[in-house]
Amino acid sequence: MMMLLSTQPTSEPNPIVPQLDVPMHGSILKDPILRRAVRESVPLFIPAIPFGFILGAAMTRSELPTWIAWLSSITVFAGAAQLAMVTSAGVASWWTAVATAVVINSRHIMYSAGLTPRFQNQPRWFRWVGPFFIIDQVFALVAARSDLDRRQFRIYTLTAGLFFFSSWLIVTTAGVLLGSAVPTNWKIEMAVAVMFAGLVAIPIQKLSAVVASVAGAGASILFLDLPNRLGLLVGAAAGIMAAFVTDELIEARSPAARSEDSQA
Amino acid sequence: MSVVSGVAMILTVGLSTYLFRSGVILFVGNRPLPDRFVRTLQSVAPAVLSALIVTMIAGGEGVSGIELPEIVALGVGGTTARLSKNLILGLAAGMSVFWGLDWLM
Repeated sequence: MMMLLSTQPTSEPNPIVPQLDVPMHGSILKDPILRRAVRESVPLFIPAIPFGFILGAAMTRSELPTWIAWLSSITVFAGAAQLAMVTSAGVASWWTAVATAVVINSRHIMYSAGLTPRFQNQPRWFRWVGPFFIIDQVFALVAARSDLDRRQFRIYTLTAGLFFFSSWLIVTTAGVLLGSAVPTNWKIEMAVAVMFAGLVAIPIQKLSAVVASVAGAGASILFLDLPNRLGLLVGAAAGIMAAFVTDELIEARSPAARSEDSQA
Repeated sequence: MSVVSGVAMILTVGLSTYLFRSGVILFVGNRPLPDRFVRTLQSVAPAVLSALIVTMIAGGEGVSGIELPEIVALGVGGTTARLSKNLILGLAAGMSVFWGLDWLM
């Protein structure tokens, strides 16, 4: 960590320690890209504060030992999946809890694909380390910064990533420490469900997303009585399949598809 | 839940998440992902989260575990978040309605 912060001039690059190619004068903390990354990250982190706090509070009520649930902020570092895992653990089967969190995070494949061109000419160490920090907000930030060169992209990505990572730890820790003081009759668990409703509703842009949501909820109601809360996975699978069929039908009816049919 | 099961859980989810974030960058490169695959991924979050909401509010009691204040709170919270594009506002509206109805009923 000190190597990242200290930039004393050296005659030979260290072949082992990752090089950030920072200017050879002054501290990296004065780098304008680093400051820009922090400045642009702050507004995106503010909405995550109550989310992190509620997650921390949910950790104290989870069947998972609290310290293990808290460690998920380090190993998983993804709010919705952590919340799903923490609330399902011990209530649903181990596999259901894991599969739910894993499936929620599968959207990160799109982020990885979207940023691949920016990572292609980067040093190997960065291609391994950088993706760890590509959460929703960091993806939104770095994907929009096409003006950055290779070095600036590294500094920007790592700075934004470390900012979100450390802030997330602080907020979820606060939730763990203070959340247990919240009276149980406040039913703070409901806040998790309302938060998820917002996460579903805000980004919806396509009909298939609406279908996914309605079919997912409907199927899980139908299968609520399955053991180990397997209805959750059945509902999720039904929602994804219904959305797939919807997209296929829409595409089949699109003008381009009709034109191909008429030519055939 | 035992410590071993719990640790295995956060490590499994953590490793899977890292592979999702890094997989294309490290192993696929610039080859494009199939359109259908990308399109399907976009439906994953609404499907899973909606199923999760139902399972959470039912609380293991089946359909009888889902109560009116919860349904209304979810509707108000989701709609407010959608219209304002603000998760915190949605949370505040949803929980206010929930606490209000819960107190009345």
